Amino acid sequence: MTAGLSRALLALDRVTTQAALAAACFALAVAVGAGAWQVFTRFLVSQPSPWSEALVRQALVWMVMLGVAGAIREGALVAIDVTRSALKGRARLVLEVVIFAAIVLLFAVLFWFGWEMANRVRLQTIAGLEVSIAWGYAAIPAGSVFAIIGALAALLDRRGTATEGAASGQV
Amino acid sequence: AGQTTVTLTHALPPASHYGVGALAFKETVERLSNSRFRVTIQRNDNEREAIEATQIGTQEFVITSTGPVGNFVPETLVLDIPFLFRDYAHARGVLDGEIGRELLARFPARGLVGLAWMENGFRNLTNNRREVSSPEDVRGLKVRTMENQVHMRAFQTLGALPTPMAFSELVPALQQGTVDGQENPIPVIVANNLNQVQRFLSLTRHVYSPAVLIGNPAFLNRLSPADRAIFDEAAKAAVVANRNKVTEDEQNGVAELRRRGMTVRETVDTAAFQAALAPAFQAYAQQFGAATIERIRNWRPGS
Amino acid sequence: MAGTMLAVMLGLFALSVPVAVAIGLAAVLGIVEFTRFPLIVAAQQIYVALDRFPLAAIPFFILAGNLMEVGGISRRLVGFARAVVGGIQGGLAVTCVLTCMIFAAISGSSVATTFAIGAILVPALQRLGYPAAFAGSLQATAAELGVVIPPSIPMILYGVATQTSIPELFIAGFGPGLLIGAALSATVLVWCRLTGWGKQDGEGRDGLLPATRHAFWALLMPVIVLGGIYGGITTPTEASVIAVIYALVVGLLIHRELRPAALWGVFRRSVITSSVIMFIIATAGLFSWLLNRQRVPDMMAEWLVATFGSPGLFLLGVNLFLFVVGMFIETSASIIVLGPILAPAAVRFGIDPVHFGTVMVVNLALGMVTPPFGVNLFAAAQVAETGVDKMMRYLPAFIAVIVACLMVISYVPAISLFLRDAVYR
Ligand code: NA
Ligand code: NA
Repeated sequence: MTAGLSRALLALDRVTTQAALAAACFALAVAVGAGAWQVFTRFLVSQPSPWSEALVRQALVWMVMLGVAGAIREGALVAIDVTRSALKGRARLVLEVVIFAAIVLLFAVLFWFGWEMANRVRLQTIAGLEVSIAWGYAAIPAGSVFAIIGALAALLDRRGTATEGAASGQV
Repeated sequence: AGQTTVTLTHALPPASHYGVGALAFKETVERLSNSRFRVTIQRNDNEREAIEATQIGTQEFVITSTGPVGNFVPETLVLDIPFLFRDYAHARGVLDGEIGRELLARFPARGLVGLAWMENGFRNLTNNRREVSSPEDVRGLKVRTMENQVHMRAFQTLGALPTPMAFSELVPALQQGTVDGQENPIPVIVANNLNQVQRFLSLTRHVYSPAVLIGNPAFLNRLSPADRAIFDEAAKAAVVANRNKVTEDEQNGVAELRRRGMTVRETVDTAAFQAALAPAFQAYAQQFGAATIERIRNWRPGS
Repeated sequence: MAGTMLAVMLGLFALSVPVAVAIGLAAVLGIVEFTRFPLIVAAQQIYVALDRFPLAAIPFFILAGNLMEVGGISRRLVGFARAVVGGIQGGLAVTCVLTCMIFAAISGSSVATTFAIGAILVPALQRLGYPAAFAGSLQATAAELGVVIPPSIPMILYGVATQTSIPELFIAGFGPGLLIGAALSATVLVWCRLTGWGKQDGEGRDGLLPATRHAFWALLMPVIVLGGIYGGITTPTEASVIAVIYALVVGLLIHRELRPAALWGVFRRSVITSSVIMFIIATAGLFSWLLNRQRVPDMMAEWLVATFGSPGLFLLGVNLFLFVVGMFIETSASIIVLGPILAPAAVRFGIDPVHFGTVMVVNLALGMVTPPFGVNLFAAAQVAETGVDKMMRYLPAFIAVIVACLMVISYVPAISLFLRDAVYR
């Protein structure tokens, strides 16, 4: 791949991955806000909110699907990378490409069928929110696009070890 | 010809009123088709997911309460209005008749086939605070309801604090007092041992809870007319088995719950409840149309 | 079918493909090759796996933990624990264990516990003459308490995957947590006697009263969070929301160590950690759904019952199996895939599903410190600025202690169930 295309892709990634992460943070903040509203309405004013729980769930589906792009970009997806760290030079590069292909394959499947699913279920409403459940399912194709860009950028811009990344994504 | 395996899921144990209905469906299909069709029954208590799976074709059939069906086929929500049906004869008559068929005819537009109306029975209120016999007794009770706007509005109007919550979270929530009470048909209360976490039962019969057998349209439309007739016959058998079990459970269930130590109040002031719900009824009339509601209310045997 | 899917998954693991991706691809392959299901179900099950309210507690507890770390709560807890137990020979090592126990009561994660406590205590241990690799090994092992003592992310996962009450699982973690804490404390005390480490541990620590006053708001947090759940007020998810709000209020307004500008970083870190775990939950959910539709759990339960014959042998077999699994595979994926397969067999053997859940969680938490793949090891090695190979000198002893505790927990159900029965039965 030419250096120019590579630079352009990394520039695109800087915008998209940062945007995806910012949106994921916003989704987490929305989830916290809706959760706090639920606690407030249930315990302090005793008028339980009918929509808060549904909003928490949808916001978190979006947080995960958008946040995973950032995780891929930062090498934070947990991997058992014994083989990878044992390899050097060209062999390592080949393995990196294989890993990249695996990630892209999964997210391509999720993009394609996530899109189809969102269309398929658009007449179903989310109980509590009373909006189409397509708004929830759309997180899957949307997140998949960001994830694929993030994976490409991570391949072009390999730095750091996966071990450090893995520890940040763990329970 | 080879054998075709179809999957039916429902949310309750094999011995429940869904379980016996599912079994009757399976036996009828396998008998009438000489086992060209086999039915696998699996349990899945995420009813929304199961309906969706029937829509996309990863399973062929589902027996589900109408709670989540309203999100797919909004017209069915009308059945959730409190005190809509006088008794079982009324409810079953409406659902088996023209009105029920009209509602089932709404399913194909939403990518589903509504095969037959089954049931959970009338829902009754249990709680840990006090014996409930009139609307005043409900005031201030934290009651777990389904995530269903019609039910929630009813309890709000009565001055209760409706708290929507997944069924799987219900028992711990009752144990810890996160909610004071819940409402479900007698067989559900018996089967889940809710007497262990609830002291008072009032036979409020405030709402009839239908269930429905739904099929995947792609599967059903591929069938020859003769095979399709087999599945329709099986659906009828499922309904009969399901309703007989509900009737039986309800007769034995109240005695059983008493024996297990619950305080049972058999009669409540139904008229007072209906009067207290007047504002909610107005809202329902706006949402579903007063004519439809009246048509259901005014149904008489033979009509 | 299950065999092929397993082989593909392990092959992808071996190629260093991320765990979540490997599981997802194995499931996709299983659907295409062995079923007539439309592949659209992959998208449906990913969504269904995430669209569950109890799971919301995971990002909330992670966020609360990160807020506490930045907001100075972990430092105060260390000061308090040191004031309580730090005065004897080996007191600082015991302080590490005790702080992990207290921190565990507000954090649901072991790795977070390693970073939050280790960042303060590992350097302190080194300053007082403990070898870096020993400090790292101790920290990695003690942090396991983060998921044994409630709240606990793996217990939430087990509860969701096997439909077991999460509050009951939480309360069942206290007994095992105390047992492991006591065993680790006793071990380090004896160890210090034998080696002569830690004779100056008591120097320069605060008195009990000022340390308690200093840590007051930090110590109140588990009372509020767990008290909310067991006082019958909140669900675990609501308690996790309260934990976030509490950590924000204490960090921003009371301790004033949390700057509003730092919030972006905290949210970003929490989002990445949560997304990594929850994306594993999503693909493992798909995988598990496929196994379930192919009736693998039923068949496994029958096979297990026929093979092991008695609950005692079954627990031994499961523990051995999970120990090996934990050496190589990540905790969340193991619980989501194996929980629904093993729990039905446990129930057939008459084992309480809550007790079985604690056994699974303690065992798989041990996997976080067993090489070659142990996330707590990596985290502790990073904090102690040492290598996993150097830690291997001290680690086997700590692993042996946890294995001994695991056996006691497996064969004495009362340790897990005593409190649960007292509260719920
Ligand atoms: Na914990
Ligand atoms: Na391990």
